[in-house]
Amino acid sequence: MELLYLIEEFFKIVMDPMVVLVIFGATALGTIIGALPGLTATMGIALLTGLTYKVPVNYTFAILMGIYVGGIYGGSISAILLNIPGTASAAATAIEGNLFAKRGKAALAIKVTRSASIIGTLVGVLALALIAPQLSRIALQFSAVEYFLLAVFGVLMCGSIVTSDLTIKGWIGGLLGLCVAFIGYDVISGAPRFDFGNINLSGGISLIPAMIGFYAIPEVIKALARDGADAPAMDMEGSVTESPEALASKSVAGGKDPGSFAIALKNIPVIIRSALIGVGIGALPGVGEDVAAWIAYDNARKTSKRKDEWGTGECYEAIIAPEVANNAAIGGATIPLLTLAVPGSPPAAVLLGAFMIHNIRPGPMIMVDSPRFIFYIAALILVAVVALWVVGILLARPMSSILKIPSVFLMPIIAVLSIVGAYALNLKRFDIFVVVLFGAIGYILDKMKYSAAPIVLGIILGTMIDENFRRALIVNKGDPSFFVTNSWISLVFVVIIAYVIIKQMVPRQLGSRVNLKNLRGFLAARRPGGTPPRP
Amino acid sequence: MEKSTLRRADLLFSIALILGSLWFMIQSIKLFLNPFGRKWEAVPAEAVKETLTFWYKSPALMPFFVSLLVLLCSVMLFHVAMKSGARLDFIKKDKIAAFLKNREFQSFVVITLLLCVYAFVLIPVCGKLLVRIRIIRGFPFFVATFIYLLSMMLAFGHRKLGHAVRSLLVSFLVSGIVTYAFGTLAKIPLP
Repeated sequence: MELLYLIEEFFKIVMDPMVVLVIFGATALGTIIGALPGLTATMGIALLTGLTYKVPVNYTFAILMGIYVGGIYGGSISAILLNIPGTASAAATAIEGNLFAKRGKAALAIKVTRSASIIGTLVGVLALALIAPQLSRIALQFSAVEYFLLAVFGVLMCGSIVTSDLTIKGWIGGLLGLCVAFIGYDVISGAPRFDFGNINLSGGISLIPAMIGFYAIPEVIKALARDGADAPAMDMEGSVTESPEALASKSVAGGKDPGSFAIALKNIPVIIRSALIGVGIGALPGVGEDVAAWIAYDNARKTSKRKDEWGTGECYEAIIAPEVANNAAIGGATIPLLTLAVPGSPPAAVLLGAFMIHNIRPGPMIMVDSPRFIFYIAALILVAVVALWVVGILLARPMSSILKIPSVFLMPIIAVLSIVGAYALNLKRFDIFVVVLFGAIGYILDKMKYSAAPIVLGIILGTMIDENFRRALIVNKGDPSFFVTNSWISLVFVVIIAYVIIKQMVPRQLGSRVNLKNLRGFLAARRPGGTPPRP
Repeated sequence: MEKSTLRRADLLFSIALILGSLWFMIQSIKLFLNPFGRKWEAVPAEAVKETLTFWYKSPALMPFFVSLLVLLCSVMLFHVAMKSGARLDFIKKDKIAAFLKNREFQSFVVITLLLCVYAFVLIPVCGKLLVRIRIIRGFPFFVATFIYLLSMMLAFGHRKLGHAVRSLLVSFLVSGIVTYAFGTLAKIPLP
């Protein structure tokens, strides 16, 4: 039945040529954003959320979903052509993808990753359409206790997984985000909190300006502050044996795919595993596409029957696995976003902000209030997949020129768009201040290896944690044992939360995460003079 | 950032966090006892008694817990940094001078300052001075954006005539496109 709803929504969208056109344009823009280093899908969605505030809702979500799908895919193009992933989620793809390019097979690698991205996104959409309605029905049984524990679980998991240095930094990030969320009037008592008499603070810190600050401004500063900022956004030197133009021209528009889908389909076991990893990791609160891509890459390498091919520029598994996973994570991340109002990834977190400013309240009631909304979003992603296929072919040739736009021209424009986008939402000059302040703080924290994701998730889930915690206590007259005894769901959450804390603290004493060792090694190799690690 | 430098930064940041969390904790206790920010003399004893009885209703409850957790995590971070060999021996005149001369730090300061000047000086000043000129809708924003973009592009680009000309052209075009596309076409209120 769910699939029928999905198909029905898909055709409804397709019947509106304007929406289709918007999705195609947005997917193209998303692909370019994803391909350019420093511009991410999250930043793209955050900027466009502000800039599309006055656009009709159906176009707004078409734009945002197109940017999301295109942005996650786009990173792989620069990863293959120039060995520099446009987004963090394409970092794993760059390892083998660039070796393909060095062997003169960049065009084929781009086609295979495009096919893998399409397959991954399709699996994610199916998961969204099939799982989300069931999950929202289960979530209807959630009381304040379960919501509180779910939100705590989200911040904790996100902090534990996404950090690239000490786990405790992820937790500190999440807690700092919660502190920001407490600013403003308390919904339960009506008491002003931490506003210090400032009228701008009494309404709380707006989510979208904070996100623009955390995701856009640090990238502007990073791009211009590092040595050689006046160089092209992509450092072309020594990346590939052929020029990017020559490489890109081989994946010419309209050219017949030389069996890229066939290559992808030959790796069905890898695709299935990676898609499941993508959906599963994507569904974890705040974790997102980049972690999914690394875990799928690691899993594919461990389970590969052709281990000798890895690192030779001939191993398709190595580029298929991360691309399937990071695109499947789009659907995965949207599941908790729509059913529990808990975003599964940083781009989904920004989408939550977009839903809120357009008066759409995700959560368990969504199947009651707007029964078709989940299928509508799934169908938008589905149309974006079709757009991705077309746009991927069309953009192959001009992409090499686009990648040459120097940071010194591009980044100041991003700064201007950040200011315009933040101001447009509430017409408050204070929101511009929030963008600048959080941008500077975000940059400093980024230098100290604090990920923005747990901070942002803390800001988003802070109200949920605070309100539900007190509601649960009020109902039970201050008895905290209710958090464990309320239901089997709450007990499971308590056990998982305790396990995560104990696991992180006892054996490794707050040490680094082993799973992300590859990511750190790879990112370290991106620095000047560094060499990509061989698997 | 090198690991040793990172741990030094962690050490410094953990101290700042400890102080910050203590401050947040004090504010939470104040909020707990006096949630509506009345003068302390005006807070009746009954109200405090009721707050203590029904502690679980207080808006300060979660902020207090969170500040406690931040304090705990900060102490742990301090411990990890100390264990890694980080000390506060880098707070010396020469090292601070070297840090201030660091290209990346200087760039960070310049970018942030330029952004502040754009948002809080250029836009309001242009708005006041050029409000009567109505060549296009949002003309003051156009001028402010043009000045900002040009100064950023010149500050971080090559010191060559070719780059200056290109910067001029790009700044002019982008300012025009942004002002027209958002201000007129999309009807988005410009700052």
